[in-house]
Amino acid sequence: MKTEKKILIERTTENGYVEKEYTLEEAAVVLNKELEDSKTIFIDGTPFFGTELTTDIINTTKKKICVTNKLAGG
Amino acid sequence: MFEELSYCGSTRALLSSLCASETLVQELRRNEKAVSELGNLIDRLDKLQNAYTILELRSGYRSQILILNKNLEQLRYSIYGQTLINKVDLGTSITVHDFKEMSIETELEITKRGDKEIVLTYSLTDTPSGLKIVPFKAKQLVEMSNKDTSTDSSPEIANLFETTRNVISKAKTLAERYHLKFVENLQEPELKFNCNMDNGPDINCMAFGKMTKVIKIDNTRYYTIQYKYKTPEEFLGKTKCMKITPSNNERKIKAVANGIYELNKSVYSYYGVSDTDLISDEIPYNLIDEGRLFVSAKCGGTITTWVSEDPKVNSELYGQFFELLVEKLKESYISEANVETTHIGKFRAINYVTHSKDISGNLKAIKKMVNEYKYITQKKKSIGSDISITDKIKYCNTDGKISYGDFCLQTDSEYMKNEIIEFFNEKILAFFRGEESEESILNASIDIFFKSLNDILSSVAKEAIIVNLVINNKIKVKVEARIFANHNRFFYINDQRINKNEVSLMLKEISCYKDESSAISFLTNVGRIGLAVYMGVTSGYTLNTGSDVIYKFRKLKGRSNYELILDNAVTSIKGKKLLTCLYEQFLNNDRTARELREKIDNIIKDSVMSTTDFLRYRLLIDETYTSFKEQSELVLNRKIEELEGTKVSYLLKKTLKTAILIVGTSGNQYIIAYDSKGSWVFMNPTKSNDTYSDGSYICMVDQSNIKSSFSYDTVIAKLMAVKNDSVIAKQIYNLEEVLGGFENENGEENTN
Repeated sequence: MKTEKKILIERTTENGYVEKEYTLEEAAVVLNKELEDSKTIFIDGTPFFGTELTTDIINTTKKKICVTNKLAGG
Repeated sequence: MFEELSYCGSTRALLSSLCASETLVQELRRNEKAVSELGNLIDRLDKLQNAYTILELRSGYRSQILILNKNLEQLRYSIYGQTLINKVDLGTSITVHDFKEMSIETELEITKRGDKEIVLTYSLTDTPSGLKIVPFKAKQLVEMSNKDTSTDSSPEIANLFETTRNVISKAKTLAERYHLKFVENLQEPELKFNCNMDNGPDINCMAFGKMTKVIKIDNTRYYTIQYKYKTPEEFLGKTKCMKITPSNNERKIKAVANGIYELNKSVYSYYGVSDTDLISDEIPYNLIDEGRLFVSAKCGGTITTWVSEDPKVNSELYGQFFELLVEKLKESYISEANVETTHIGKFRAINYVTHSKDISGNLKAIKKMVNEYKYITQKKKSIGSDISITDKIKYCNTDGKISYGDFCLQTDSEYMKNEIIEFFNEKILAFFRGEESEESILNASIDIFFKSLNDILSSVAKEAIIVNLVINNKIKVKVEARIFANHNRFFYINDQRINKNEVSLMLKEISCYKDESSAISFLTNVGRIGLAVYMGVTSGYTLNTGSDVIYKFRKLKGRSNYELILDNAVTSIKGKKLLTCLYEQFLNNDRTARELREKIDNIIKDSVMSTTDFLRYRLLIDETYTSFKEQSELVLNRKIEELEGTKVSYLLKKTLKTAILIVGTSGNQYIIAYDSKGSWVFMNPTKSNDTYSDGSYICMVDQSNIKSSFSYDTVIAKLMAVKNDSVIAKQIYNLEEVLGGFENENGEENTN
């Protein structure tokens, strides 16, 4: 039986950093919301610079996706 | 022997005293059910004038029996305690043994009236023996007189009053209301409906109450009743103690319906009657049971008393007492009405008097028709002037004012008014047809208000834009878009410069304030520390209140609704007092830790929905800090390991800081020194012994509105960024500059 791929996302919430598994569609919603909130997204440690994360892009994840606050030069 | 352990002047103080018990706290922290049980218990105590409860806290071989006693005459709570040693280890638990709706002093008094020993005995489950509450207060007790204690009775009794009043009022108006209104609206007076309630219960001469305590000593039943009564002159709550013997059982009382007993006595007053008349001491012996409810009312020349079923015998009938009473009154008084039969369109108004059950159904049909009629007339009235979605949600187009109770948003912009009236014209239809709720219309109207304001501010006008708003009837706000010589546009609220994307957010925050001075103070404060910090305070603020605590909030839908996030739990917070207090503390750190903790505790007690919520806060707030800190450390360490970093020490301005050494994809080494307040990045530091120092400082700013240094969000963001330095440098210009400088210093291009 084919099992649905789960994407591990690590991101900060009110309760600190949490790791949670999402389906592809759920991950797309969560991550695009994070992009809207100007967060930086790292897919397997590599930063993503686009404006929208499609399920195809998310599907390339091998280990996990990490969401961090956006940094700028001071 | 019981000893008085402490006394407290408020519920908050009582809870604080309880939270000082290590056994209790231990149990509560791991037992959410016990938290809510204890919270509900304190709430029950809080609602009553006089009451006491007996708790048992077990911890291994020891049991502590606590009596929490509320005596409003002495304006205090008392905690009495006694420790028992059990023969076996009974584990840790909390048991509530008893709850009485009278103070322990009154309980002892009642026992004394029976000329018995002033000792109350309780059989406590699983304890070695029954527990005797010895007469520890006996000396101080005053002889109880048979006079009434003219104190306001409990909210429970007040609720009973409302219910009783509604019962009689409902019975009187049930049939007439919609029916007559409909007839009036349609101008078809031939449809007549009468109900004869002239000899029915008089709302102005009535009493109602509950038998709150019954003690049987020998053949006598001593009982306390709490009641409220209303005569045309006064409305009072009282407690009365009475006694009755079986010989008084012959009185004329009859079961008039399932679960309702009726007692009548004549009265020779055409006017008001006193509570002595209304509160019958003629209720027979067999109907004196703890919990029974009664209603007395003057019905013409008679005082009728209706007594409910005993809750212990038939809880179902007891629970339906008021409903059954409505039915009973309808049968007695409405069924005698005269009705003419007529037709209105397809609606046939017949027989609904003789079959009381049909009344509701037919009235519903009439109500629906009346509503439809109302809608048509209301819609006509609303064109070009006020629109009332309900009594609460209104829009006045002349003033440009959306109002909902004391909340309102008002604009002088014609563009906004046009947008809003269009919205309301659409929604009124949806509301009456039941397609949209009051709440959804209110929320959508607020969105439209701010969206249209944003449209104006975003328009490419060549002149300055000024929109005057009034928020909550009192707060005057001037929103401006000023244009400068270089064509730059800046935005101002009451002459305070605000970023454009923060205008709506600021106005929404202001709408949570009810008076102008608080709103102005909020504006000034945000001007001083920035909205980002304000948001930071609301999203997580660490304070030392004796020990370190963290206050983190989650904003909920609605005005000033928050959740205080605790370790594995949340507590709902209403109002802005707590945030304002934390915010003030951020600006002026002038309170001692103890003062601050006490102030915060008091505010939280007033802001939470229930005692359980406050209890949860008290139990978990200290643990939340520790747990959150440990969790944050754990996540950071895991991240360091994943990114192949190493924990080292870094000498920053003569202070040794904890730091992380990490190598970026460009091959450069980075140090991220950090503490609980901030973090600093240095490229290619020097190493001396085991300590790093110097290196090129790279300024990186966390752009997030909500950042908590406590959870190392920024440190993790910096770790991820410098690990990917060559690819992410274009986003962080300092890093790009330093990387470029590094290439120049080495005289070769960095190929990584």
